Amino acid sequence: MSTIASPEEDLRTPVVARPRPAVRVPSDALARAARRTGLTLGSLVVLVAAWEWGSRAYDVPFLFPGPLAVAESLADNLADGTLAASTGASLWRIVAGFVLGSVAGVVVGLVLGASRVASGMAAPFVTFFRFVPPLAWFGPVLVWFGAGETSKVLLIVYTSLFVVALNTIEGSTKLPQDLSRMAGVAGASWWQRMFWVTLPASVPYIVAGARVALGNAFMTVVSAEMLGASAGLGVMVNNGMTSTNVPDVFTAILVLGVAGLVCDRLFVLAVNTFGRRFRGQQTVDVA
Amino acid sequence: MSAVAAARVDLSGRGARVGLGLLGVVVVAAAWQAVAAATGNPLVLPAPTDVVTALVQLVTDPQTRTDLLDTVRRVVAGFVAGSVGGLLLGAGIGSFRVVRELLNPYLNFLRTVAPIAWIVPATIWLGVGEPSILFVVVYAAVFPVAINTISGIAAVDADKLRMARAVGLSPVGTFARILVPSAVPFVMVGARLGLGLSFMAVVGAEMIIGQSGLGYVIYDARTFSNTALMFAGILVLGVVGYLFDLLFVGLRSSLFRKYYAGREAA
Repeated sequence: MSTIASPEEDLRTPVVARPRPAVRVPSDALARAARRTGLTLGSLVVLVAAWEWGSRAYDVPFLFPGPLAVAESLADNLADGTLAASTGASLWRIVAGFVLGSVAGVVVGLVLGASRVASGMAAPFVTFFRFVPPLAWFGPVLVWFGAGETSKVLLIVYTSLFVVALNTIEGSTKLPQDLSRMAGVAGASWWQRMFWVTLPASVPYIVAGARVALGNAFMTVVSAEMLGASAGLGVMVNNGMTSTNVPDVFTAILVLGVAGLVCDRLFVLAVNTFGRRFRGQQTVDVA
Repeated sequence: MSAVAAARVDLSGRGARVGLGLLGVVVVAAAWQAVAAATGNPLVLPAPTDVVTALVQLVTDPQTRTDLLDTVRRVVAGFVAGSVGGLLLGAGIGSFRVVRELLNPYLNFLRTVAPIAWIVPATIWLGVGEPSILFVVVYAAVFPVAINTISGIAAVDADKLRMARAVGLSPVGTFARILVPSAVPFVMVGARLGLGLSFMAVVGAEMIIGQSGLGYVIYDARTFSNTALMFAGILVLGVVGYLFDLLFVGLRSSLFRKYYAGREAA
């Protein structure tokens, strides 16, 4: 199962759940994996061939580049270092914004989850901001922080913060009260209970929120860069548009998709490796 | 201590929550007003009162009201088309294991690409204008719905399928009576996500190629340094998004109530 099953239905990550495998002998699993790889490779060949054919059949192949043209653009951009620079710039923004936003989201979520007064007072804002797309803040952020890196990272912080905060609230309020009481009876202070009981119990929820936030970060970075930046994958898309260099646009899209996919897989891998001890209790399945 | 305990009121009631919420809004608005007065530069931070004035203008002025309606129309059209497309796609893919295994990698790839990145190919193929904006909105809505539909079909209880086979239910009957009811809650989760993503996509598209719409208004306000209007646009976006979400949840619980029997329809 590669699913982070957040128990809260509405906050769940959209991931493809495979049917829970019945008990199976390893050799069978191996055969299945081989079959799946074969299917993917086979379909990839068919797809690429169809794409090339479609591009040649299109009236203006220049406007609908085939895989060969895209591969050429990919090689060119790799060779002159544009691709590495662009990807690096985008990834840096994503990671900085995502980490800051997630940490802030956890803190905000824990505070709001712990205090009825705070959560009551913040409720209208949390609901409201959830529905304001990050790009709408582009103007104010630009006025306040200028056109530099800060603005773009802040937009990503914004997309990450609310998803993580909402999930943290969810997790910390669903914590079995007995656990917290027991820690209190054993002499744990409020801070100790927060750090050793509430936070660990909320981890599965936080992780589910963070995974959504990571996806959001990938979406936001592109549009933020398209509206103004010196380097980045969004800039590559934009330059491709202004100079009608469509293969470059496709290259940027390809790299974006692959980078997003790789980051998501790495996130799940990290959660599976380091998050095992938070699994269990309830029925929460961490990835 | 005892005095504090006696003064403690029950904060879990609905009335208390509304009161606290209002209190929060008042406190923040007052703080905002104070900071704005201290800053003394409405171009950097307009006071809430200025924003309210701009907001009233935005909603009453026929020109900007058209912008609001344009955005709403684009979201509705793109979201409905994208959701239906995603549902059909997901049902088609999810019903056949081979197709699912075949297309899963591509779906996961396409889902990661920001919808807004497609604005460029869209404008090249469809021109600068309405179809390109709609394309991006549809793209934003298709994948959450498709992927959640596939999950919903995959998550069907195997025992139910066996039972259906045992009592001799036809494939069509199995689809309609077992698979659909099992998938509906998943589809709805996807559609709700898709609705939020549609709002994000439409704002981006309107900012980049739009000639009308709230995204365009906000972008335009920036060019003219009309910060109050920028904030008014943000406020309207938040409120409209929230109302749409409420509407969605309301429709979901009234139209699809029967599929939520025995579970908590959040």
